[in-house]
Amino acid sequence: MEKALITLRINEREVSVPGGSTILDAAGKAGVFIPTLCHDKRVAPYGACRLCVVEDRRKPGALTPSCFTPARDGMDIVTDSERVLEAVRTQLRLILADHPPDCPVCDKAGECTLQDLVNRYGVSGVPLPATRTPGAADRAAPLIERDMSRCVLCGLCVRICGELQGRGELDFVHRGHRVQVGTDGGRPLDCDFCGLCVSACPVGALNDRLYGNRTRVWKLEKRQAFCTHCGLICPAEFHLEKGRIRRVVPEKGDDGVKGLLCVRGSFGWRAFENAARPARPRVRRGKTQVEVSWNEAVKYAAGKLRNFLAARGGGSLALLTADHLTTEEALSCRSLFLDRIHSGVGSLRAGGYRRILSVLDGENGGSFPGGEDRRDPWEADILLVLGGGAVEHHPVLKPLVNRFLKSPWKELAVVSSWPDDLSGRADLSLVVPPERFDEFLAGLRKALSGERNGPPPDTGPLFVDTERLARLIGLLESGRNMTVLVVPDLFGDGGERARMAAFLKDRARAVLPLGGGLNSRGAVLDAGLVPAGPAADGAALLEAMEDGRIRGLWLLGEDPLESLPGGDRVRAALEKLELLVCQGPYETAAAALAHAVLPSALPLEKSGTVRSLTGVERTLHPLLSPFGEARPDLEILEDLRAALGEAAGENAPEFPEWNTDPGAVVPGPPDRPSSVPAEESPKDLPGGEGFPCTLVPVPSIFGDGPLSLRSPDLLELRRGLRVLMNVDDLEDNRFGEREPVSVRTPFGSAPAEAGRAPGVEKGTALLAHVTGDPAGLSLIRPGTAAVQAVIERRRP
Amino acid sequence: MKALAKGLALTFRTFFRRPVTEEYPDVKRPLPPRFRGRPVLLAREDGRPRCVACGLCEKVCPSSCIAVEPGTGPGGTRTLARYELDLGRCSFCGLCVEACPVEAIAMGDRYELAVEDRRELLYGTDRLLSPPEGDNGSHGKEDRNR
Repeated sequence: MEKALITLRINEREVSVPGGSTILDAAGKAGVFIPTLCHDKRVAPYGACRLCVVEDRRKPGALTPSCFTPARDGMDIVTDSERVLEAVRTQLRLILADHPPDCPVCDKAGECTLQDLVNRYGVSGVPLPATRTPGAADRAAPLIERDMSRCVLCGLCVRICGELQGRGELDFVHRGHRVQVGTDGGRPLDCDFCGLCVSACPVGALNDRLYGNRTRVWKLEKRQAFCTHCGLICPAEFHLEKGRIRRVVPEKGDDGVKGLLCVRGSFGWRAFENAARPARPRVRRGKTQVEVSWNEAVKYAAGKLRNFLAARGGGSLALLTADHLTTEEALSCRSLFLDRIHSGVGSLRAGGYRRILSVLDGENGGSFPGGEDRRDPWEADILLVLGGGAVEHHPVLKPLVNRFLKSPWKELAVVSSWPDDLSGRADLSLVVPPERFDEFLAGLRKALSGERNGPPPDTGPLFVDTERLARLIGLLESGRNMTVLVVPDLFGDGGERARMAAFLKDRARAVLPLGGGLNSRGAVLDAGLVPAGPAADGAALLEAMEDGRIRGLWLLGEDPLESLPGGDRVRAALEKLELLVCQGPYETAAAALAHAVLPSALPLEKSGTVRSLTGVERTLHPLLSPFGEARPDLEILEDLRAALGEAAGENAPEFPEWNTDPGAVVPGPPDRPSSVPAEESPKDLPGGEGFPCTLVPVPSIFGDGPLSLRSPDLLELRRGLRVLMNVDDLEDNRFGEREPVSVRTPFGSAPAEAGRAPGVEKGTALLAHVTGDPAGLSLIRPGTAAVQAVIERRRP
Repeated sequence: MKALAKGLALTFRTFFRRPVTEEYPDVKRPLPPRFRGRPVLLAREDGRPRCVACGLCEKVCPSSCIAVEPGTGPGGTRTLARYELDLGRCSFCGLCVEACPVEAIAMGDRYELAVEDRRELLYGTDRLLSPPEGDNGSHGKEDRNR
């Protein structure tokens, strides 16, 4: 609905704004500057700093704070009268009286709102002696430094943390003139470290520790780019000094509103500086790998691939992508691997996402709500989340969902397999045990599709509150405007969720699968690099590798030892492979076993197009120079194609001497019996002292993607493998917070750290930060949503 | 004739005056107090530089001859990690001294700065801090900053 325009005068300038705008908004439109310190458009107006006062000629006598006074028709506002200016100067002097003059050592100097205003209004000297003693900055927490002596109590951090991030980690403590921003009990910050408070602080009270004491703001080159840690591809501003990233901050939009970033975007940028990257291509010679030139490496890889295809056929090759390829690269990949070689295609981290997306895509011939249709998913009335870990996969969804819920008549319904962050704030939250989740979805689909004859669906065994289930069905059948977010399990195949998503597609405004990699959506929808063969799903891939149906892997940034559960079975399967090529930006564990290692460029080192999970197309431009001799994947793939083409004759449409029939998998000699049986029968758990529970692997808020796992700062926040359980379970078993424990499952055992998670059922434990942890991965098997485990105190 | 006598008179008078010429470099003139020689970093009592690495001198320098690299000291404070001044580019304008908020840099009194290799003109923290090599004298310049 359009709001009626109202017209007012600001400094003799007529301006028309929609009703409900504040005087400050109107002044912005009129191009009149009004000083503010406590105002940030990301949160509601507050009126703490009193710098935005203006005079209304129709109401002489009082000065009006413009940031939260609504503009009214016919107002006659003056912002530059002597009275207003004196009020602003007085207010600035009072703020300065309690602010240490340590600009030379303050990292905010040069972009400090207070400093700018003091200069602009020519304030010098302070009217009162300083009351606050400058204290040392609090550096107990990682990444964020708090120097409360510089705080001007604008409350922006408190509001952004509570209102937008929904965390409420920072709040005002003490009373009267001793009031301060702090945490409860003065403990160190222990939050999501999204960095939004740092981005909001107008002075140098909250600082980015990765940026602090390293440079000066005027030395920075500010470049607009995108965060490439997950598939949301949030716009971010990269601040560089001499070609090195110094910090990453939320982008300021055209409307002057700062954007949102999560911990990965704000603090995960040191992944780009990680030196554990192959600088030059390597190929296997005998038992060792040697560094060779690019020409040689490509020729070697092409020759190896050709021999493999001739002997085994395209169907025995699988391409595993971490989806960091741009759409152009994915297209090149598809035409080579999918269309010509007919190999399998899959992804370990984004497998579930790709499955759901390709099912949705296939259902109605290439377009579906939220894909081609660019309707804003947040315009819906109901947000339905199917599956657990939406905000853990994509932490920026947290503020986005909070913003969504602030509008009137919005509802959030979460059907989750574990009590994740969103189900805590949902209007309707259903937690279905992970092992029954697919069953539940199938039953729900049946109930919705009108198969009402016969007995009503039996909800008893699903452990679901019937009243809530009825409300959920009511919501789904209400025909209201609804956006559905579908979240696959961390290592699940997403099959049932895909069917549910396809079923809900016609009822919903948009169906958005979550959990994908950087360009999963672009790769599947735009480039057609769709899942194919047994590689599409982790469990099937592992089996196929073990029984010899897959004998070659081409890894594009993916590492099975890092993201395919199975422990020793994965390593044994990799060792058996006849072709293993690692093409990716980082040194991986699998690279040691590879026949060829082809170093590729990181997303910020190349140009191309990517598409975010919400369907927005973004263009990447190179921001950093490539590491060593690393090259963009597109160049590598084109060279590879040329090297293969030469052998088969120019312009040969197919490679006649190769066996590229997808069905023709040459089994080869029978495999020697591997030490690990292909079909592990879960051994009975030996009893003992420990705490028996159901272990549910969950995604990490600090990122499970290949980029996030290479950031030293995000790794420090993860603190390794953790088992999170109910407070009662924690107390009953006398586990302390952060106590080292050991976790045993029928598949293996691993050291971990105990922790507390609100809302977890008794007898259930969440296994966090499992991706990238070899011991953790050995506890589970691909495709298992939950596993029985025993947790016991670790003996020193 | 008259003009000749006048000229000779001047010659004779000068003959008995003290010579103006100085035996440089054996003898050096005293410098005026505001003489601008090579910039020097001033030290605290414990010998560490006073500089807090705010970078204002670097910003204000018209010939971009200063590079300041900050570091993190004990307690997380900003401290100087490295200060570099390229004398080959310095124009001795003194703007760095004016910009410094903590009076950590001053114009010194050294003016004999010729070297045989340009690389020697890159002055690091240590050389900027230490008193000028060779003659320790201030050439008579009063250092207001000490």
